Amino acid sequence: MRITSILFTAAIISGLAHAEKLAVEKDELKLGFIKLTDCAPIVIAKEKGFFDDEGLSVEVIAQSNWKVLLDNVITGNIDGAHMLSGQPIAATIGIGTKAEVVTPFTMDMNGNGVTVSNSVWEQMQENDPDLDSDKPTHPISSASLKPIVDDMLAEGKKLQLGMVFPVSTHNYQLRYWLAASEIHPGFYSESDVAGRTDAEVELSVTPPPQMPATLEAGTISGYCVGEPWNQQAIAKGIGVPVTTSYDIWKNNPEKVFGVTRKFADENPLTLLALTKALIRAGKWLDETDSSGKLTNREEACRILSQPNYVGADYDIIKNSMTGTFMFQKTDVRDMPDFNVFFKYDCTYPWYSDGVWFLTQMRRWGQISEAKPASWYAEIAKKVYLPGVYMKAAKMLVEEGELTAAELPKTEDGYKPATKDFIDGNEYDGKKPIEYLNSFKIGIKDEGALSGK
Amino acid sequence: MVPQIQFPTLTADLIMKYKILKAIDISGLNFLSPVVRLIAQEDPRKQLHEIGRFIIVPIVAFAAFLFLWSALAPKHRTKAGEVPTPGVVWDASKGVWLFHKRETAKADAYLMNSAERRKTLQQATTRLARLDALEAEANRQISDIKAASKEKFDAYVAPSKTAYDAKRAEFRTAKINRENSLKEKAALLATQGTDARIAYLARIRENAVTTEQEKEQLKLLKTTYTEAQTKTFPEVKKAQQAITKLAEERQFLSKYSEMLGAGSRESKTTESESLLAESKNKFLTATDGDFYRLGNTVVKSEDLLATTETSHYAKPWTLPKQIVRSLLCVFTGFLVASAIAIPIGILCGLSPTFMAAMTPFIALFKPVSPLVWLPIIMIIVGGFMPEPENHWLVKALDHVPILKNYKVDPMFLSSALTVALCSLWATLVNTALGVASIEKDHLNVAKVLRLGFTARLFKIVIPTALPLIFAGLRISLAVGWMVLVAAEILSTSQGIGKFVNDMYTNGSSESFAQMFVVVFIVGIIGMFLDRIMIIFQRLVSFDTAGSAI
Amino acid sequence: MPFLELDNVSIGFGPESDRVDILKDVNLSVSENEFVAVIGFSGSGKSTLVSLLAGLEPPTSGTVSMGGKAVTRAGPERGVMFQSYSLLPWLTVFGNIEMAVKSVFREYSRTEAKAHVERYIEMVHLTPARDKKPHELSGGMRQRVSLARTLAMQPEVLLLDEPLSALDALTRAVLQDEILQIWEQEKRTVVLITNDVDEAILMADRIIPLTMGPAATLAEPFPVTLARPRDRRALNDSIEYQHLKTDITTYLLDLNREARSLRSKTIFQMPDIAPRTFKLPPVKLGGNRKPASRAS
Repeated sequence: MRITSILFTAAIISGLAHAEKLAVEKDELKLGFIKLTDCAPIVIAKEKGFFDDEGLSVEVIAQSNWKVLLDNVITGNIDGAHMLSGQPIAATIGIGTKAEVVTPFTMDMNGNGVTVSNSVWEQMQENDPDLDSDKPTHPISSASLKPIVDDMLAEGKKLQLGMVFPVSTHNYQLRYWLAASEIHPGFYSESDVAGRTDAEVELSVTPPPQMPATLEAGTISGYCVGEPWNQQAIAKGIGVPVTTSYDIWKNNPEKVFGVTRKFADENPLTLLALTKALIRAGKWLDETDSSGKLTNREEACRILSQPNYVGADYDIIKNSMTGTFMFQKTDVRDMPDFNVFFKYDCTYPWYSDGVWFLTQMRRWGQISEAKPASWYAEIAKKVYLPGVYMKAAKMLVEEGELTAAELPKTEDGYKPATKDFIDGNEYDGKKPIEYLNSFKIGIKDEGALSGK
Repeated sequence: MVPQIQFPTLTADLIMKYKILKAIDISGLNFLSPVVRLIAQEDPRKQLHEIGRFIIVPIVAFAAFLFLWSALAPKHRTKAGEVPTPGVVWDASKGVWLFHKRETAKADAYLMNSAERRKTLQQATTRLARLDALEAEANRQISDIKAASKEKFDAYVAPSKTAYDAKRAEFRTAKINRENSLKEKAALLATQGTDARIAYLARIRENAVTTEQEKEQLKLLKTTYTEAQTKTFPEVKKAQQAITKLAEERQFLSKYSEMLGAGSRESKTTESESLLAESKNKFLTATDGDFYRLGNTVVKSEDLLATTETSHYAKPWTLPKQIVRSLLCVFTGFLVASAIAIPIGILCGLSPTFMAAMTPFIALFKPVSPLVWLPIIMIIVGGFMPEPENHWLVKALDHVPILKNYKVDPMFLSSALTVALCSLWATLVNTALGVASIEKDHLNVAKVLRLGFTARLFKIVIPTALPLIFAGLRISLAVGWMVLVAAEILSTSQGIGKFVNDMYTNGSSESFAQMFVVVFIVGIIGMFLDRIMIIFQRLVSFDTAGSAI
Repeated sequence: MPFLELDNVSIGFGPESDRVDILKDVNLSVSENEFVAVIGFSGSGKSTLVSLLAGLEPPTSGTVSMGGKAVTRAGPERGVMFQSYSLLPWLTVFGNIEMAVKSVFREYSRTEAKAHVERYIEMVHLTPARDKKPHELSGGMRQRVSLARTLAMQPEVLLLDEPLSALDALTRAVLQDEILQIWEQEKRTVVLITNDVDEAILMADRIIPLTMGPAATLAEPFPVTLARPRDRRALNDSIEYQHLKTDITTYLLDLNREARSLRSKTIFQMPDIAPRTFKLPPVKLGGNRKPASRAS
């Protein structure tokens, strides 16, 4: 493969002069981001001079929505961007815009929340009196939402929920949360690109910044979105965050840094330099003192609150970024892992993460035909570039920016099987078909399993 | 015997006065003419009256508007935010400007020479040191205020909370009691007849109704309680704002100092130079080893030095720069529109057949919204520019003096073309009308003088149509300016529209105020553009009756 | 020897089948350097006559010729001074004249052209208003500009289409004198169209009445034998002048009466037709009209 050979050459050059900067092919870059707190690694790498250290002059440009962002990356208006994990995969397999997009770096884990409107929250409290307290027990499942959905269905209506993009982590997380209590979120199909076939609730796309206003207007009754939009809702009294993506899947992969394959092929050293800077930014964001307190997050919040970055009020960003999360005015909890930028080998582009998104795309019908397990692995290997990551990380170790202990330890790029889901279902990235078939709601691929 | 025509003799003062008055008339700033006349002591009573009407009245009206705005704005609030008062908007505009100034300072710092750098760094460090004390003080203050307001808050929330908790406990017990008593009675039903059983049903119904009523009551109390929780105290808000201001300054100063120090271009160049020297030395002095590798390193270091020497701070787009880009974009679109509309308009005016051919297009495309044009144009422009950075047009425009600083990209071109498509109609129709309304006598003059087609076009036809062409251009520019902001919002092309979209997306407490800032900026610029067009229109209109306002 | 000639010229409008003649069978011959005045009521087709002479409109039948050659198009050799001045409003006095000079004398250098233009501005006494735009000038001054422009082209024939009719009496008198004075200096063939008998007698060598339209034609000319240069104050006492004026006026009034009676006849001669179908009847309405006979 061409990319590996180039990387190999890069390794020789960098190996010999590790104290020197990489001779990047392109030193003036434009990176795109969406105004969400998890764009932090890009912003921090710029503001803390990590890009500069690599000899990169980077302009960071806000994009208005995920579609525009992806289109801009594909057309080359911007060189790389903060992307939803599902986007490079979907683009590569041709859901939506078809283009080969790759990622050498996972930007963060967790960080999303599900918020419902005040009235839905009240009804949930009626259905489950335990919720009617200043600090209800977590995690909150969608079981108390089920009667509301059923009542509405009986009246011939469907509960309307918002998410940010058809191939967003939010879509899959919201669906996972609903389906875990047997609320059917609907299938996608060739003829139903809105994903509402058999749906008991209707999910629609709303840009993140418009979520609170849309919720207040009553167009939707709840949404799944990244920060600061859940904290905005509770701060302004528009809605109540009921659960977070951390509760749905502990330490789930969230955003990635994506570039086109063309860019990666033509600028291997630039990509390596970018990855190095981003890893350093992730590490900086997760720096803790001896007591385990996140030391750099307040400064990060200050930077993110600048109008050219996330731009939301410092206090709102701080709510979730500094290790706490406000569920109700009376219920502010410590969630040290609400945003993870480096810990738990978070930044490594795990093949198993890619496979998980593929299983969810298949589960809800975005992938219209059954595929063998090998296909899942193949696509993950096409999109995720752990080789670039490891090269960058090793260079950082040599430069003394990382310790050897901070390198992810993995043989094959797959995380071990885990049951850290809200429904306790087990996920093993090497067995996608079994995983698909283990769900109560969702498309199952019996044939593919027995046939191949 | 032939009488000489007498012209009034003019004094220098009078000439001056007439010149000023003419300038005022041409620029359409007629409200100023009474002032000039008053200074020239021409019928002071009348002038004062005019000043009252044309200057004082508008000022009073605007003041009344500001007063109403500041009085009404605080009364209108939604959960998403509140309508900013004029004061808040003014503060927001200062904030926007401060951001611009700081980013410009950073960009300057990056390029400063060492003497200047040291001096500025000194100032920044001093200020940073002072900030420590200021921040400590502010933090102390806010903790006091917060403690005080916490008590106030608790006291404020307490009654509604107690009421809610008490009622909830009461209703819960009542409900359990009712259910228990119903269950007791149920035990007896086995031996009782139909009447009793039916009566029992009624009791169950009654219980359900009571429970429902209690729920409603509880809901009301809950609402009061939740609303009480959203109570904020202005002093806390103020103290927080003060802290935010200081923290932002610290953020800026620390980055600024870095850029004045190790992050400056000069420091980086020095670093690269020493790297180069080192690698060169290695290459030249090495006795054995891989000379290919060492040589390569030297060349790479040379390249690195070259890029470092010409590097710039990647400054984020700030509103002033975005405004300039919007203006460039609107003028680009406007020029394209004029270049299309005027020739076609002239042809339409000259030839009824051509006009007939064009009519369906004009009728069909004129009413189409920019929001529809933009995506279509984006696809078309994108099709022509698969690799924008390597496209000849983008490369060529990178050498145009002003444009090169504003990064002409496909988005810019799409926005400009959208502006062009939406604004060209007014010019086209007006030009056609202007050309068609040419006087027959003038054409006769052309015939007598045996003017050729081109001479006739440029000496008779176009001059005749000019006032109407300019009237059309004026409308086009106004339309274009309106369209542009929408196009930029949709295309995320850098400019005022992008600023609006970004600020809206920020969803910060200042967002609404920033939108108001944009309203005024867009309005004022639009007004200026219109004024400029009025001046042009007046300059080309040969009759005295140039249109006012 | 006739210099400018109309030979059996007719002009009309409308389709062949339904033509309305404006001028019919017009014959005119003007000798070189002769000053001819054509006089008639408004609406009788005077301006059309000028258009024909200038070559702005081709005749429907007959020929217009100048110096023996047929006139097919307009040109600077027949300068026209229009009733409505026809100045280009966006040009100054100088600019208007300059445009004419530059198009006629293409070979002139910049300085030659400037001197030429200025000479004619001086000739009409407009030098102080040289840089004014037409809308800044009075009607009389505008017509002076128009005159200067026409003269600056140095035409062989000057066609004056009611040049003074829009002006007040005093200005008109002044301009009449000026035109006459210039004509005395630079003799030209002039055709003056006017509706003012005094003006015609004052200026022309020959006065030709135009009969009432439609299908107007030129009547027998009245020669003016008054000695030149003519002084308007002296003319008032001249017997010859008074006779001539009375003759022409009477003639014109008779023409008017005849025309009116013709018109009333036309009303009674309305054809009594009712269409049986919605197709247009093949009746030639124009054919019923009686051409105005030439009065003797």
